[in-house]
Amino acid sequence: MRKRTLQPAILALALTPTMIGADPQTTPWINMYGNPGGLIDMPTAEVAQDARLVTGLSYFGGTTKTALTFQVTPKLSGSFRYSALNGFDAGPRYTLPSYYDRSFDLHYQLFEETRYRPAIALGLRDLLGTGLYEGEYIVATKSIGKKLRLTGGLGWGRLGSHNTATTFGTRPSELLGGGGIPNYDRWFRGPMAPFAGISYQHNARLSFAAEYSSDAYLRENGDMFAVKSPVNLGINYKLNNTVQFGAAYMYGSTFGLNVAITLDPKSAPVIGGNDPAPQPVALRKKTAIADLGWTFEADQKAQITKALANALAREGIKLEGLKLAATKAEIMIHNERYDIDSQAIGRTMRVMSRVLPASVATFTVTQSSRGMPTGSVALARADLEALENAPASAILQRASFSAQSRARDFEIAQGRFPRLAWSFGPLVKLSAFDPDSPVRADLVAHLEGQYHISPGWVASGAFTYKLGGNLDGLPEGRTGFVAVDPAYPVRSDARLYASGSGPKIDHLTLARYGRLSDNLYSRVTVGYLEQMYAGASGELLWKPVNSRLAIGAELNYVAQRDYDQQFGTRGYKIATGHISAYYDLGNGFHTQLDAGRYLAGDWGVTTSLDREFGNGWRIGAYVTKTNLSSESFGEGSFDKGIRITVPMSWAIGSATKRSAPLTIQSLTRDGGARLNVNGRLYQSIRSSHGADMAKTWGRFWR
Amino acid sequence: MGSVLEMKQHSKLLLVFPALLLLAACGNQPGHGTGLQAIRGAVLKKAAPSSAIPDATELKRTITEALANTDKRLAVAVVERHNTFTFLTEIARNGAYSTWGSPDRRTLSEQSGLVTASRGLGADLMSANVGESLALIQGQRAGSAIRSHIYLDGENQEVSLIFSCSFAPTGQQTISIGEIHVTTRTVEERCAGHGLSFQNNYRVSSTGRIVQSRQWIGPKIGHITIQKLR
Repeated sequence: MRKRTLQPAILALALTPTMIGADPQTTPWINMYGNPGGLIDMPTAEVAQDARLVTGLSYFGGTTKTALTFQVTPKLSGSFRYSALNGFDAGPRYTLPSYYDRSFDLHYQLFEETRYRPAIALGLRDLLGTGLYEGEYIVATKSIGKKLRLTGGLGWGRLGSHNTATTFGTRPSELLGGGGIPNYDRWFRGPMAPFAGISYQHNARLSFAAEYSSDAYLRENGDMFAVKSPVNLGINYKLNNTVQFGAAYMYGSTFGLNVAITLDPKSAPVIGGNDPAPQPVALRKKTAIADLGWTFEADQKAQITKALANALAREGIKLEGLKLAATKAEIMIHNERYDIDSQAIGRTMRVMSRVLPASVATFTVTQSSRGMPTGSVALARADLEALENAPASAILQRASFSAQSRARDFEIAQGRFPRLAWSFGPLVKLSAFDPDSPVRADLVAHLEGQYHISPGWVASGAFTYKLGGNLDGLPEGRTGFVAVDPAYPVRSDARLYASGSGPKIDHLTLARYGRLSDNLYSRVTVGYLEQMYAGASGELLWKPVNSRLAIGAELNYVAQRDYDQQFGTRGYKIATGHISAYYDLGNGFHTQLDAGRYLAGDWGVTTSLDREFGNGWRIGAYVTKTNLSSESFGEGSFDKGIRITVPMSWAIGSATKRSAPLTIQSLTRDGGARLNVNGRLYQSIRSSHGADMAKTWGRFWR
Repeated sequence: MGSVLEMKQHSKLLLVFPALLLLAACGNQPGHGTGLQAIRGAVLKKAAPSSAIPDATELKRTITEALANTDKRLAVAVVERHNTFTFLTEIARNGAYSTWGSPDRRTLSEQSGLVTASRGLGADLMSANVGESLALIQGQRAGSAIRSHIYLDGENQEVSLIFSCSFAPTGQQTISIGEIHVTTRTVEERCAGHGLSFQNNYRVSSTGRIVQSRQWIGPKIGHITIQKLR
């Protein structure tokens, strides 16, 4: 286990950065674009602290921008922006009062600041898009003392539109494909203009900025606000480490406001959580260790099992199976509470020390995923006793990880099968950042349940009844872009599934999970698999316990369901499936490659990259390119998106396995669409394996 | 640009917040209703007067009562930052360490009176090496020592903080509370490291037992005062 002796995140105190060597020039400030930077509308060479996730909301001159920026690595950040331009002239066919635009930026710091050289960064604004905010820049920022930073840069595209200094060739005006492809043929071409700015950090909370903008706002000028001066003046105020406000006088005619919320996924509001204390390890009497008398008493085993089940239940852990011998015990548990697996294992081991007879010298805990055994951790009881007050890294060295258990090896605990798990409550289905409306939502009553028939067999259902909302709303006068020779509407008619109240069957399935060999896991699911498709889905996963690589294969045969989401299906039937490779890149990065046939019958590849944090946060992006042509795909050319998972335990401070996933897709279309079947194997199996558990092993004694 | 019209095509659910479901859902699975519980917990914590520090007469009465109810070792503790008061019962011993639990399942572990771990307070002290400090306190000598504390970071990795500490005897004091009636020597420990500094105070009986102490547990928890009662 890595042990860091660096200044930890736990400390609120920040050490003053020493000016030896290079300075990454981090900034806490967020500009009007929602990007890290100490100026107003112009970029700087600064970066945010590594891994910061910033949500920025700004308004000026009729434009509201909502932006999400992630500092992917210490030098690279990416931003997704959703802008609403009120009064923007988007052409005669556009009838909505506001024009909505989505854009994506990258910012890369090429050089850190040194004593004589400024920090230098390169950026691409709106690089995938439709080009409304398209602009490239190279920018340098230099500190003078601790409070003052000077910035100067050169901009192209939008950032080269005011006071153009020179022109680099011709900037093409046509979009590549149907839009949504990087417009690399335009980058750093056409008119170029200089910009500059100065920021002054008055104290930890307050900063001032002045800048000379190279953006002429050619399309907004007049219709939305008047550009009277290229000079902007701004002030930023930090309320605390999370919230900041900014105000600016912009372009000599209008005021701008912004607010930004900065989260640090590397830290946590309650570090280590505030769950109640674990049970302490119980020591054995030396004299009792050799006593095997209990093995001859008929009812002893049943009593031990019962005591173990009760004690584990108090920790939120369910005893699923037991294999008890005179000197060793293996138990299979179902962890329903702890999102960090090592915490569940640590608590289970301590409960075992309190319950199992003294002669039992080796403890093995195997985790169960839907009754299917996954990874196991084994420890000598003596190590558990000796290392209770030592760092967790000490017991990690003694722990051995394996994955060889089978369900049939265990005596299944009484009352575990069959059982029903259920929940009922309201659910908000939200659709935000759509191209034609910022937010649409439905409130539904949601009933779901899983009936665990026997180990590995699960019947599952979820039913909804719409209470109200506008998720199915189609704006009047939609004209829209018509794709050439479009694919069958396998996903793009999703709004039709949101119409009507129901009751609707969200899913209704029977699934079988199993282990075919030490490294091979399987799943078969049949029934109404998801909102839009019914059929059969089969999956195989190869994942050795000590491997960074896993290989999966999934094959589905599905029919599109009726819009009312009851039992009927429509005519469209398709066989779809993928071969997937999962690879843990280390340093918190994980990648996945899926190749196969998508729902519209198109063949292609999905590549994804996620940054994963040791507290359940995941932030990533994916792209899918299939053999469906850009023209048939429609606007966006191919599918791509950003996905974020926020662990609930992080937000509320106590352990829960719940999380809030959030996906921002470029545009949902019919190319590159995949089936959404529940219970895919990889994550639950991987998290029980040693390499993954070691990443958060500090929780073993928590 | 040129995409204004294209942008108006189909789209669908971009994000669904199951988190919102939690706020009001019911069911038989853990995690449902967590949101409500957390909120309720926070509100109740503020409203509950029982955890506040009682006045002297009340304290004496509850201590007598608590001692009469158990023959285990007992202590009272005050977490200064939260202004909370609790009884602690020794619930386990493991070698040189003993673990003390509160009725609401928070624990402190100590080595002969020096706190080496906390659990359930948030940003807990995971473990500590206080051997050098302990030798100086029990010996009631002036001198210096190194102590190391282990905490978790936001990604559940262990972080070790090492502090240099100096010790000085500061006087004598008589303590009479519960079943403890002793004359103690007072020792002060001043520590610094990693941009942090803190001070611990101990009252040590002639047999070297720490009967009362005020100890710094960590950057978030701050100081805890512990008074042994038996």
